[in-house]
Amino acid sequence: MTRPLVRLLLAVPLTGLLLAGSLATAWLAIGSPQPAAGSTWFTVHKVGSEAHLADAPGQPFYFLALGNDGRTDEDPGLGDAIHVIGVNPATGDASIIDVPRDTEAPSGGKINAYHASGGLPSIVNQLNRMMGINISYAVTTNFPHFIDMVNEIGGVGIDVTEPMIDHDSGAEFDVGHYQMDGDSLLAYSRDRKSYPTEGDRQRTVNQGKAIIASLATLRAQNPGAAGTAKLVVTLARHVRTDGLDVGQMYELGRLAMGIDPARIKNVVVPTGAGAGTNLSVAPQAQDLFADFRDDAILQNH
Amino acid sequence: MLATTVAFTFATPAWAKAKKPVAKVTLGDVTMYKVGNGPDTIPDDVRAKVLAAISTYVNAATVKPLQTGVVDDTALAGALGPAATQRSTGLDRVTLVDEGLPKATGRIIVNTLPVSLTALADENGHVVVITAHLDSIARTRTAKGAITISRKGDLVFTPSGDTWKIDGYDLAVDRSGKGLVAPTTETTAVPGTPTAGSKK
Repeated sequence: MTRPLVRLLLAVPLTGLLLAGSLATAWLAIGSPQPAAGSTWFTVHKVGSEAHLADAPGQPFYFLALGNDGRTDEDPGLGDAIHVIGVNPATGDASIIDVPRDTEAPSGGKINAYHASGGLPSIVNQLNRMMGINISYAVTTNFPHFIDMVNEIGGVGIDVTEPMIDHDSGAEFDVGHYQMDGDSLLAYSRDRKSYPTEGDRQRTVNQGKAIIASLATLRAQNPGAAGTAKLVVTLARHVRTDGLDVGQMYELGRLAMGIDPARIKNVVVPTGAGAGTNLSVAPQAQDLFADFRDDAILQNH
Repeated sequence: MLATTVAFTFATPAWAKAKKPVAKVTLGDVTMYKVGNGPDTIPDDVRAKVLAAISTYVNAATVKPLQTGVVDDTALAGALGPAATQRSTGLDRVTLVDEGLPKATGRIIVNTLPVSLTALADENGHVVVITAHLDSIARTRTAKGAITISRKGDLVFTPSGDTWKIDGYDLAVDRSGKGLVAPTTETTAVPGTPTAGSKK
């Protein structure tokens, strides 16, 4: 047993970021993580070699929050909810770039398939190439664990701005504010049929909104320094991680709690028609990526 | 039940230099959050180190400046970790230390509520983070009148070698009274990462 695996830290606050949209927090780890206790909600891997919190404090970093469509832990699932989150600790800001699942990967084919075939490292590699960044951490969760997480925090407040009806996803919402439980938030995050022209793109944006709303929900609970410790422990019992220890998780949690959700930009990658049913990355996306990779924050979009 | 600890410091004036300022800090409630099976509480030696660091911090940040007009940065560095020390020279300084106030001409009294500690232990039973809730009020007189400094919030401690140092904080300070150029109220929230620090 090389390292005690579950150094779960991270989790808590980031969970806010992660949580929704199949969010995930994931830091991808290397090694063989094992759960502490309780069911595992999500898996965090440390992808990069840099220990940002220890070696490069204050430097912007990126992480991938990925919702996969696996119904069991054994099924890696397609990476259907893809959100690259940039965090700039020095400014306390974050930005999210949402990637539609059918987007063509740099190596060809739909990008969501890379998770099913090669796991988090594989899809992270494609996203790094697409955006010209280095994602340090990745988190993934599947349907059942996503539902559990949301229920555990008491639901997430979501503003529905237009009627949503998608029998496939289970979404059926009038305009209004909802405190969504896990099932409802999953339905909201999967709904694409309410949007005849922008289906998958708008769904992806909604997932980003759900991530931001999750953070807002956790912040509203105002856990403070001590409460964050409690959250970390709760999450630690449901997270599989490697490459991160509990202290780092706590730091990340505090960092996430310091980010004002109202200042988080949430932008979907511009796409056009690609091969078959794929979506190609539109030329104007390069400007978006450049804005993102200089300091992890979108200033001009 | 929050008893109040009162520490009297007789030091400000030059003639009182021999008196060492002491803001006495006592332990309040202790809460342990653990990922694994233990420990059930914060080890005694760790508690003592954290309380000592808080005492050092309050004396260096508040008492010493009132006595001499200068923050004891050397002592402060003994209580703050490297990142927090760095922040203490930047925007957070106005919240972390009581600088630029008129010197005390009378007795300095520091009242500190018992400090509640909350600890986080990893799966191996190692305490990796401790938060301390600080609620202190310093009162004294200056040539222009009485002043009061209230500092409340959480200090986040992490291990630093054989000691425990302040690595993060959420602090608010209120300074009021005569003799202040401008009473100040500052709040600083700092994420646990070593760098960030922002004034709300």
